[in-house]
Amino acid sequence: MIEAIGSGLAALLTPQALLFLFIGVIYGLVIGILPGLGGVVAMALLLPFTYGFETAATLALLLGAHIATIWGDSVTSILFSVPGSAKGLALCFDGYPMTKQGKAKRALAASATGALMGGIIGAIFLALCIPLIRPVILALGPSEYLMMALWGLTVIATFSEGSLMKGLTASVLGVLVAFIGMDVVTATPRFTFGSEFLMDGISFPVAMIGLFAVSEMMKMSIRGTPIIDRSLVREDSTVWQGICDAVGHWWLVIRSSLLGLWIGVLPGVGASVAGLAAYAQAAQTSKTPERFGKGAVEGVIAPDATMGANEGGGLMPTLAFGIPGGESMAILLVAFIGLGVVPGPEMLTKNLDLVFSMVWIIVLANIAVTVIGLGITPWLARLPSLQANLMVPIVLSVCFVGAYATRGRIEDVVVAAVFGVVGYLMDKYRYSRANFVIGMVLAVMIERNLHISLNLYGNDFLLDRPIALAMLLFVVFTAALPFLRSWRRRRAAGRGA
Amino acid sequence: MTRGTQENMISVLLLAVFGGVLWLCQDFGPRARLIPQPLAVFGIALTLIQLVWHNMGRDTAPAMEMISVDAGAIPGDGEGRPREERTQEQLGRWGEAGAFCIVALLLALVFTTGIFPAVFLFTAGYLVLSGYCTPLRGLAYSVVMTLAIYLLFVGGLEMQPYHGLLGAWFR
Amino acid sequence: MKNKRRKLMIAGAMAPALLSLPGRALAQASDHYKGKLVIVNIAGSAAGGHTRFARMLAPYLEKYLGAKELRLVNMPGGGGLKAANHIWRLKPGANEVYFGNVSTLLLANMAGSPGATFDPTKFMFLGRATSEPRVLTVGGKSAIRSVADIQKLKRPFVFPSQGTDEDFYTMAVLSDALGFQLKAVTGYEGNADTSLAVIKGDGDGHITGWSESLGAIRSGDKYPVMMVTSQPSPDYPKIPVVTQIAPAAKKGVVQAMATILETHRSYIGPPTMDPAAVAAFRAAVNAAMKDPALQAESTKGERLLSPMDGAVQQKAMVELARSSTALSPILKAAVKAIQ
Repeated sequence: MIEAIGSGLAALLTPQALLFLFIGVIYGLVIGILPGLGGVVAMALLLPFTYGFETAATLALLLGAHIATIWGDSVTSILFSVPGSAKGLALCFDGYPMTKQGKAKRALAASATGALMGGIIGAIFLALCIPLIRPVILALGPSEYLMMALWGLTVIATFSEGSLMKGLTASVLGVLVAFIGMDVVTATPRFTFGSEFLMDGISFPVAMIGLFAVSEMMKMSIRGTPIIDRSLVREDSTVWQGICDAVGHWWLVIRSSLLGLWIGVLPGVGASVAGLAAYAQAAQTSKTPERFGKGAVEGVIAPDATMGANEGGGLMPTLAFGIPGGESMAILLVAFIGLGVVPGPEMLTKNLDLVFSMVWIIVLANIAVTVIGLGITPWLARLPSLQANLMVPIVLSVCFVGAYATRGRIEDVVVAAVFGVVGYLMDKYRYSRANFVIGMVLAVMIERNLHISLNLYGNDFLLDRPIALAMLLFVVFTAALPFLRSWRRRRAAGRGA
Repeated sequence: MTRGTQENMISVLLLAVFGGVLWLCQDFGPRARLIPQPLAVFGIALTLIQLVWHNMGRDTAPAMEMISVDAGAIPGDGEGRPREERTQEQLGRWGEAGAFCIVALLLALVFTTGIFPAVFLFTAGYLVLSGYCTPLRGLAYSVVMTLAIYLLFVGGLEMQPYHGLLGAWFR
Repeated sequence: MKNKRRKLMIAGAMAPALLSLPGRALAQASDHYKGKLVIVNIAGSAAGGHTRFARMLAPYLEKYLGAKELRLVNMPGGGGLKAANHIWRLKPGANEVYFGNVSTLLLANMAGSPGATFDPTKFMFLGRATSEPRVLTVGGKSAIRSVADIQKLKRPFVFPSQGTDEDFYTMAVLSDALGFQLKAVTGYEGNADTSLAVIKGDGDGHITGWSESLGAIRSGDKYPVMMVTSQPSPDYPKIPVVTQIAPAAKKGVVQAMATILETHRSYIGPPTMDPAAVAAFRAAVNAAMKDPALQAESTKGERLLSPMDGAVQQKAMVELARSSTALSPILKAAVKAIQ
C-alpha cells in the first residue's frame, strides 16, 4: 500500500500533470463563482480535451476543476448570500452575516482553510477506509437513504428565518415545486399543464439563482446602497484570522470531514445534503448555539470542511463498483473508459496506485485552491462594497445568462425571474428561502426511496432493515433535541426563579 | 395597505396554491399522489393556523431552541433595522415597483433582442439612468462587460446564444 | 503578477473554445446541400453523450454534405421528445434534422406518452451512427443463471428501473414474450443505481448497454443471461440471443423490440423532407462513417461507431409499424401497472 501511495504521487509529479491540475483549478474557480454552474458543467466541458494525455494529467484536469468549483461556490454565498448551488446554501447562514459585520476576509480565509483541511482529512481517511468501502455500500439500501433524507428534513426544524409555521410552509412549497415535471416512478406528468418545458421539472440551480441572486439584486436596487456601506462598517478582519479560526477548530473540522466522507460514500445522497448536515451538527454540538446564524465562524468552517471531504467519498462507489456517486462522477467514469481504465473491485487491488493518484489529486487540488483563494481574498472582500448601481446590472445580467446556460433553454430565464420575485416576497414576508431549498433538494430523494422501500420490502420495511430503524431513532432524537434543550433550559430557569 | 393586510393576502394566495395542488392531485394515480396530496393538506393546515394566529395578534414563536439564519436582520447592512421598519425613503425613488420593473424589463429585452444585446442594453441603460456614470462611460463599461460575458459563456462554456424575436425576424 | 494571474485565468476559461475550432469542409458526396446551412438538433444537453457523438461526426458530415455550415443546436427536454416534436412540426424545405436516441421516441409513442405528438415510423431515417447491444444481467451471487431459471421462479422477477425508459419497456416485452412474471421497481436514479441494486441483491436483474455492464461482468459482480439483439454476435458467443429463445408465436414482437433498440443514435428528418435531400443526407452519413480519419478518431476517443444505412432503417420501420399494434398494448399495460 505504501508503494502505491508513493507511485500514485510520482505519477502526478510530471510537468504535464501539474500544469493540467493548475489549469483545472483556475477553470473550476471561475465556473464555481458563476451562478448556476458547478462541477458537472466544468468536467463535462473539459472532457473532450482529455483524450491522448497522460492518465494522471487527465484526472488532474477533471478532478482539479471539480474540486475548485466547490470553493468558488462558497465565495458568492459568503460575500453576497447568493449560493451558486445547494452546496453553498449553508455558507450563507453565517458567512454572509460575517461579511456584513466587516469580516469578509476572515470568513473567506476560514472557508478556504476549512475546505483544505477537510479535503486532506477526507483523503487520509479515504485511503485508510478503502478495504471497508464495498461492504459499507452493500449494507445500505433505499430505506437507509430515506432515513438520511429525513434527517436532512429535520434540519428545517433547526433553522428559523421568521416563524416556525412560515418556515414549514416554505419547505412544503419547496417539496411541491420539486414535484413539478414527469414523475419517473409512475410515469405521470405532475403539475405540468401540458407544457413540454415543465415536463423536465424546475431546474434546481435556476431556482437558486432566482430565489437568492435575483431577489438580492431586487432588494439592492430598492435600497440603492451596497451590501456593506464602508462609512458604517469597516473591513477590519484579516486572512490570517480566518486561517487561525479553521486550525483552532480542528476537532470540528475532523468531525465535519468524516461526516462529508460518509455522505460522499453513499451513492446518490450528494454534497447538497452534506453542507446542511454539517451546519446542523456544528450548531447542535456547539456550547453556544445562539451565536449561529449571526456570524459564527464555525458555521463557515463546518460546511466547507464537509464539502472538501465529500469529494473523496464520492470517488469510492465510482472506483469500487464502477458506479458513479453523482453526475460529476459519471463524467469521470466516461474519462476512465477513454483512458482504458475499467473501474470495479480490481481498482482497489490491481490499480491501487491510480486510486492513490486520485487521492493525491484531491490533496494537491485543495492546496492549490486554498493558496489561490487566500491570495485573492483581499480583492474578493472588496466586492460587497461596490456601489449598488454597478452591482445590480452586472449581477442581474450574469444571473440571466447563467440561468440560460444551465440547460440552454430560454424558458429557464423566465423561471429565474419568477423565482426572483418569489424569493423577494418570501424574504419580505419572512418565509424561509433556506427551508424552501432544503425541501426542494430532499423531496425527490424522499419520494423515490419511499416508493422503492415500500415496493421492495413492503409496508413494514423498517422491521426488515435494522440499520434503517436505528437511523430512524437517531433522526427522531436529533429532531427532538432542540425541543428538549429548550425544555431543560426553561426548567432550569424556573428552578432558578 | 397595512402589513397585516399584505400578510393576509399572501396567506390567501398560499391557500389557493395548496388548494390547486390538492385539486390537481385528483387526476394522479395512488402512487403519484402518495406524497403531494397529504403535503398539500398539511400546507393548507399550516397556512390556516398562520392566518388565524396572525389575525389574533399572536406571535408564532415556537417553544424550541432554533438557530436564526435570518441574514436580513443582522445589523451592519447599512440600515441596522429589520425590514418591517424600512421607510419609504429607504425603498428608493421607485420603490418595489421599480425592482419588479427592472426584472421584467431585462426579461422582455432578452426575449426581443436576444440574450447578449439585452445584456448590453440593460447594463448601459441602468448605468446611465441611475446616474452611476456618464453616457459615454456607461457605453464603454457595457461593451466591456457584454464582451466578457460573451467570451466566458460562448467562448469558454460553448453556450449557444439565444437570438430573440428580432434575431429570428432578421434571419 | 496581477496581470499574469488574470491572463492565466482568461487562458483557462478560453482554452476549451480555442481547442474546439473545427476544420473546414474539404469534400462532398452530393450537391443538394452545397452552400446551405444545415441544422442538427441534438436531443440532449451540451454535456451529454449525444452531443459528444454529434460533435465528433459534425466536421465529417459537413464535408460530405458540402454544406456552408453544419450547425449543432442542443435541444434537450423530455428525453428527446422536445427535439422530436420540433422536427415533426417543421415546414417542407427546412434543412433541419434530429440527432439522438430514436428508440426512446418509438417507445414513448407506442406507450402513449403524453409528450409524444408524432408518429415516429413516419420520420425520414437518415442513418445510424452508433448502437450498443443491450444485455440482461443478474447479480453475481444470484441463483439465476439462465432465462429458464427466470421462467421457473415461483415469484416475480424483481427488476429495478429508473422509470419508463427503454429498459423498462424492453423488460415488459420480454416478460410477455418469454412468459415470466415481472415486478418493476421504479424510482432508481439511473443505471448506476439499478446496477448497485442488482449487485446487492435488492433486485434480480436489469438491462443495460453491453459496455456499461462489462466491468461488472468481468469482476463477477454481474452475470449475463441474455442479449437483447436481433442477431448473435461473435463478441459474446456464449450468451443466448433473445430472438433465438423466444417462442415462435412471440418472435415477431421480440424482433420488433430488438429493431427499436437497434435504432439507437441516429439522424432523422421530418416526414415532409424532400426525397433528394433524404438521399443526399443518407449518402453523406454513409460516406462520413467510412472516412478513415473519423474511424481513427472514434477508436481513439472510445466513441465507437456502428453505422446503419438510413434506407435499411426505413425498411425496418415499415415492418415495425405493422408489429407495433402488438407491442403497444404490452407497453401501455406495463405503464399502468406502476401507476
